[in-house]
Amino acid sequence: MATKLKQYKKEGHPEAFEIWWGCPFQQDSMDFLYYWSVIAGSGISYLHGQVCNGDNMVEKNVTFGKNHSQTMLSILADWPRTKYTVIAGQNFPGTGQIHGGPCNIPTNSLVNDARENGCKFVIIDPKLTDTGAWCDEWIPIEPGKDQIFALSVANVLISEKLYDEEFLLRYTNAAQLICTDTRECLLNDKGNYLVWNNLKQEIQSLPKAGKMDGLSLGYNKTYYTYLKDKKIECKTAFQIFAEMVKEYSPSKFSFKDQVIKIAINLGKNKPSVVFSSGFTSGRYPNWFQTMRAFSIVNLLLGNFDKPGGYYFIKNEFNVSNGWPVPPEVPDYSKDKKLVPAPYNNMTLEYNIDQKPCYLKPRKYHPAVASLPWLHFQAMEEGKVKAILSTTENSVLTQQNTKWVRECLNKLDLIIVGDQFLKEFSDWADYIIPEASFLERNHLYYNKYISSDSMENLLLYMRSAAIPPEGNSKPLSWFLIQVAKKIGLEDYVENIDLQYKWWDKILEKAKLFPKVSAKKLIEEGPYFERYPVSHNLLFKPIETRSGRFEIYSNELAEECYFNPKSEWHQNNHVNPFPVEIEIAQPENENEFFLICGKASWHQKSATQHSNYLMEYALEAGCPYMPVYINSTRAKELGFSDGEEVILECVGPRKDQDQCVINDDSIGYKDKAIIKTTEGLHPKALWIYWASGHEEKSNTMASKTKKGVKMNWFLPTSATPYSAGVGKNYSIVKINKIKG
Amino acid sequence: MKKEYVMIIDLNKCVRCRTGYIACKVEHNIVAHPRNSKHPYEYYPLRYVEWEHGKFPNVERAFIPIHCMHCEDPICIKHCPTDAIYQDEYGIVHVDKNRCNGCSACAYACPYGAIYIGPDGKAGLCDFCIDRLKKGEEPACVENCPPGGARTFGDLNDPESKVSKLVASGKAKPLLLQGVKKTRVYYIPSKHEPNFATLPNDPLFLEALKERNKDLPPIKGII
Repeated sequence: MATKLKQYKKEGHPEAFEIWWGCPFQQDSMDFLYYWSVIAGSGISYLHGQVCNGDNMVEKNVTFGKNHSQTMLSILADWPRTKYTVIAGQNFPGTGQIHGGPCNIPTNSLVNDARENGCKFVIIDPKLTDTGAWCDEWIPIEPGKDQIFALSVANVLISEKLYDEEFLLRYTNAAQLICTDTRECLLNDKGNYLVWNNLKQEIQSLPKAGKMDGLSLGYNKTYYTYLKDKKIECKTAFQIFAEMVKEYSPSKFSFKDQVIKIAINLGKNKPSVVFSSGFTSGRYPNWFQTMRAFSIVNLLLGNFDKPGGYYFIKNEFNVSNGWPVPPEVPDYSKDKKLVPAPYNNMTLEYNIDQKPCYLKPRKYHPAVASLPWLHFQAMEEGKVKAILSTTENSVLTQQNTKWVRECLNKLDLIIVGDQFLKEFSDWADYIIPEASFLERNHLYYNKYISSDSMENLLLYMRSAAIPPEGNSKPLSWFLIQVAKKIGLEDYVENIDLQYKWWDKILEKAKLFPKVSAKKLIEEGPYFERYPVSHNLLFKPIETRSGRFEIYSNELAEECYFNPKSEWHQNNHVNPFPVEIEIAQPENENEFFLICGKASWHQKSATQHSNYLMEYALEAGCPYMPVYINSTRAKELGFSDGEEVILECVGPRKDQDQCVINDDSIGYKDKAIIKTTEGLHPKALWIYWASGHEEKSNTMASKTKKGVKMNWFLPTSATPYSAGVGKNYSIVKINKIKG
Repeated sequence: MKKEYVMIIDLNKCVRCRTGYIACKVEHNIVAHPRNSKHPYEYYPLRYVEWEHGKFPNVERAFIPIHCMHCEDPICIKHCPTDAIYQDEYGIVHVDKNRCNGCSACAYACPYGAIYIGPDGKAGLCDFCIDRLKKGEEPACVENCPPGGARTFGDLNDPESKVSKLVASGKAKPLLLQGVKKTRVYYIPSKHEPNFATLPNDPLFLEALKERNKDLPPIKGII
């Protein structure tokens, strides 16, 4: 690794070496990885992150602003008082992926509290998952139609006047005036957004969030103003949105009555409601606008910082990163421009994931987790020549496996680190036996609200329960040795990643020495608790208007109306969540192939948990079958348990502008089918996206026959938000002849 | 008054996380089953019975954790040719591995399919984690059921216990199959089962319940 790093540095391109990391909660300090990459000049990528929730983070930033985005991403809500919940495609009670990150209150205790208190749960999902079966109601949405569903709910909320007018006027840009013809926002000569003041009967600047005197939603109203001596017809953002959703009557759905019922229940139970598109994202290319539509429904409901609604935690520990600074180490930022990176880190501006986000105009939003396909393109072009991968499994978990592997084949060097062998291990030139989280220290920070209406801030150390086994070491130890070999010893000599690194973070947060890594290990987690308080403006709303945005000024100015933007006039970045159609199955034996994210086996660690694998195998081996709707199977002449051939037929580049590489078209594989009534007729479904093909002697080998989703996935990426379409595959199903 | 341990499973709260299954195996050091050629049968004390009912889009998927019900007057005891199965003072059923000859008669006789034959060739079943009970701890599945979860355990003869109140209220109901008159496992039904009261005669449920019998070793020896 040192040899390659020296070589690439000599050639003037240290970034030809990249570090790929996958999970902030399983691996060695990702803070240190970012620090290391800056001092070495190498590339770094949270490659898995975009598959996980990358475009979700972008949408939440665009609609709610940075200060309020995390709550919406994590689906942090006052669950015990919630009365009605609608969630799309998220197996939430079992996975615990709502309400913040790891090791906090298990979600199911909160949702069970909600249920005890009478909350009803509705799940929107093509498949009757465990959550779907647990919920009070399952809406079997057709793949790709979640956006229309959300717009239909908005249609009913507006037509039945079930929206929260005061909330819209006080905290959103619903009253902002938009040019009727062009849909551009209107600015005065001071660059302020405009509204109509009903009391003064004149146009004025959009006031700060919290103020609403004289503002009007302008429902069914048209205004006129003069800008640069030109008469402009304009309407409020609310009115234009209302006109837009008129087209989305619930009658568009086969379950029209249920859509109406859902909307009425949301409206009548507001603000004690949650309406969420789920945590994970990037299912189809229209998912960014789908999430926008879901967010706007929430804005109509005004379910924020009120009992039973979303809740923004007001207090926090100012936890950042533990990077050493001069004079402890030499200046590492000299001659280097650093930009924000995931999880409060910084990174080099020329990083593949960051560079397009800081162009003018920016091509992707800085909140993206990563831009995976750009790395593979860089490998094709010879710009990335070597990688170190830790706790991720790109050889199987990224879209379009065929293309990914062709790119990996071009590399000079692949180093893979993890606790267990996995598919990527078979590709490695070297494997690093990384110490697991049980064998090293790591600080975590969490915040949530509990059923006694308290904000809980929690700091804890995952600390070494045992020393690393055999020759395994933390990855950071390995990187420190490499750093010493490439002349960077002054940057790493005195680094202590077991205690001092975390103490530095606590020091920056002004908690040290009251709280220290050693104390957390010896005495347990550190808690602070504060009563819940309702104040949406505890921090500024960091959108362009300073308000939650129904009409996205950022999308308008940065992309849609910007002639210099690559996304100029592209509906994927329309400031309103206009309908985006996706490619469709074209023949009778064609389906959408969709998958569950199956958090059990996202990481190699759980893949090698024999108990989990055993359950999977015993319960009908969910990793093998492809589920098909019983009626569709019968129509096509297939029986339960029959082996069939699946072939990827789309989406093709000519079908969808978001498709970048459709090398997966034509890929075929055998699958056993399992018929079920609990699946939308247009979908085929597999449990675990990536499948297994790892060769080591574990029970994973029992599932080698499993279909692997990513082989069937063309590479797609949504403009600006970089959603990677992890459910976007169209396959045809045929009998095996002979 | 002597204790009578019962377990109550609230099917409204069960989120189908499968933690109970794993906690049970870990607690009892039951190796994850490679289902190899030497022992191609399933074996675990706690399993789940799942089945769909209805037609798309009006479908439900029921999910019931099943293990030894610790019946009153257990059928398995009557079928055991070696008197290896017995019931203790608390009503908990046990297998004496020293007496068991692995004939499988009990496994076939149990209407709940709660008995397995392990790779040691002996019968096994849930024993309410008797070793933990003796130390004043709850069964592993109860302790590990995520907070706010589905399982409650306690002494039915203690009028202040949560279990006795739930049973007395009629909310918690036994699942009585094939002439079983009383069990020590109760369920609080949810809307996901078609009709809990008629489950004992529901063909879909019974088919799902019996599914695992395909995997039992054949009965051998004297019956």
